Amino acid sequence: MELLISFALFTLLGVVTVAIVSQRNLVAVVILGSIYSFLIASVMVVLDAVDVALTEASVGAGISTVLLLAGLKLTRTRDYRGQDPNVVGALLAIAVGGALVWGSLVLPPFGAPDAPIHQHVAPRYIEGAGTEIGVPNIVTAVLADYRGFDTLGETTVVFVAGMAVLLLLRRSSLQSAPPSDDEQPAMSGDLVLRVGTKLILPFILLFALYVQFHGDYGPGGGFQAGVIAASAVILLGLTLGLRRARRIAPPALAHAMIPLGVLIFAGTGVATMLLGGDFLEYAVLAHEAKEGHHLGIMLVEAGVLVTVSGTMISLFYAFVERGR
Amino acid sequence: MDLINAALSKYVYVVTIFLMVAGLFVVVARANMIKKLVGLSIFQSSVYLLYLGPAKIFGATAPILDSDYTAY
Amino acid sequence: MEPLIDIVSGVFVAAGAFFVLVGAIGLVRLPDLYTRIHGASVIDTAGAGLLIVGMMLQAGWSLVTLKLLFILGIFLFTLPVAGHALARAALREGLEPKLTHDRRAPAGDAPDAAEEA
Repeated sequence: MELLISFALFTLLGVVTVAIVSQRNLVAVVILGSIYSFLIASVMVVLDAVDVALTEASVGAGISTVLLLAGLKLTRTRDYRGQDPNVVGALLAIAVGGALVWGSLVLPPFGAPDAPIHQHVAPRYIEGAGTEIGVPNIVTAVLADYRGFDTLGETTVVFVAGMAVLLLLRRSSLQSAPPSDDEQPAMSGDLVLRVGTKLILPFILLFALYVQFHGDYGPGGGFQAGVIAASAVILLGLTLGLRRARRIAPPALAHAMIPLGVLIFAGTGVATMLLGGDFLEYAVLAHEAKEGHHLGIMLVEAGVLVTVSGTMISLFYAFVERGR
Repeated sequence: MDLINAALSKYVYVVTIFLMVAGLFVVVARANMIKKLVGLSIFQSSVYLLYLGPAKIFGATAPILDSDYTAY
Repeated sequence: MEPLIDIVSGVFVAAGAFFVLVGAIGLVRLPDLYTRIHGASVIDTAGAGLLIVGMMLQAGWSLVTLKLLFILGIFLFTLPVAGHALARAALREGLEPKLTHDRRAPAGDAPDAAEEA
């Protein structure tokens, strides 16, 4: 039965990909990209990778689509140039595909429990997450504790990417006009949307906090929660007007949140060093090792939440300011 | 029957490679930037599938420790 | 008792799947954006509702049922608002609905109604 569902989803993925390659209307391409992200998230759920599925659904099907549509608003919406048959590109793609097929001949069959991938590192983490750390979500344990240094690198990458985009997109305060009083987007003033947004917004934020703090016990964590919290602010900006969004989530605060998260994360590492352990050795943070691990994971996930949500909100503000 | 079984058991890799090739083609062959970005996102998702496909076990569950399950 | 719950939840899931199929056919075959939104809203309300009821029957009395209830509430609340936003955006952009007889007032309820059909 799992096989049947995964086959159907894979086939749908292939169809959507062919549609993306051949479509000329760019709005359709972006929406098909969002559908594609949602299908990939479903495939990941079938493949038992629920954390990755949550991240892919929130980032790919949510934020990416909004930002691409905002980018489309600034440019044209039809692909006028590139439909001539590109033989070199097709040959290159087929050559790479052939090499990959040759490489995939040695991969284990789908669903086999005795694949090499399950023999060496995975059992160590599965047992360690229960006994050493005491966190039921193994993915969070690996992400924030066993491989916490890599996650620090990821958060720094988000920080650098956010800074780069802001440097490219933000106009200096000398160039940009001050926000006018009547900058209402086309959607505002509609009663159904305003009431609907005002009713659903607190639940979105509540869900973001739930995903953040429940990430130890179920799918979740900092990245997903940051994206969901940012999507609440984006919804606010799209339906209730930018002036109100700027009052509730000021751009200066969003810009400050980007490095603040990295500071929290790296600061946890420095704190553990000051308390006598190694960098990011959480066991020294509390009296008992397991409590220290829990505290450390909570702190670093909070850092990730702050950076990711700050980046997404700043990107949204930068895109919208550019469009005025 | 054995050949069909072998082919079906590698279907996930076929899809992964198809997505990778399609994403690469869109990035290389289409001039529009937005399309290139969407193609890059297709390529990125195919890399996720490349990691997740071999890790699936039939009858196992998501990697969240629970007393009801023994395989993850 | 167990097979009865299975059968009933199977009926609900099948009915939900039927409505999703009907909505999908409507999305493709109906002539105009505004009628296609009707097709999509069938999926949102009837399709999703029946599927979730079927899943709740399978889950029994547990936390999963409560979460499914919340998801149903969110579906029933947000998806029609999204359909409304879509129709409003299309009307504001000037997409005229295909009407055989335009019953709108001559002064025009819609912001961009230029003439009667």
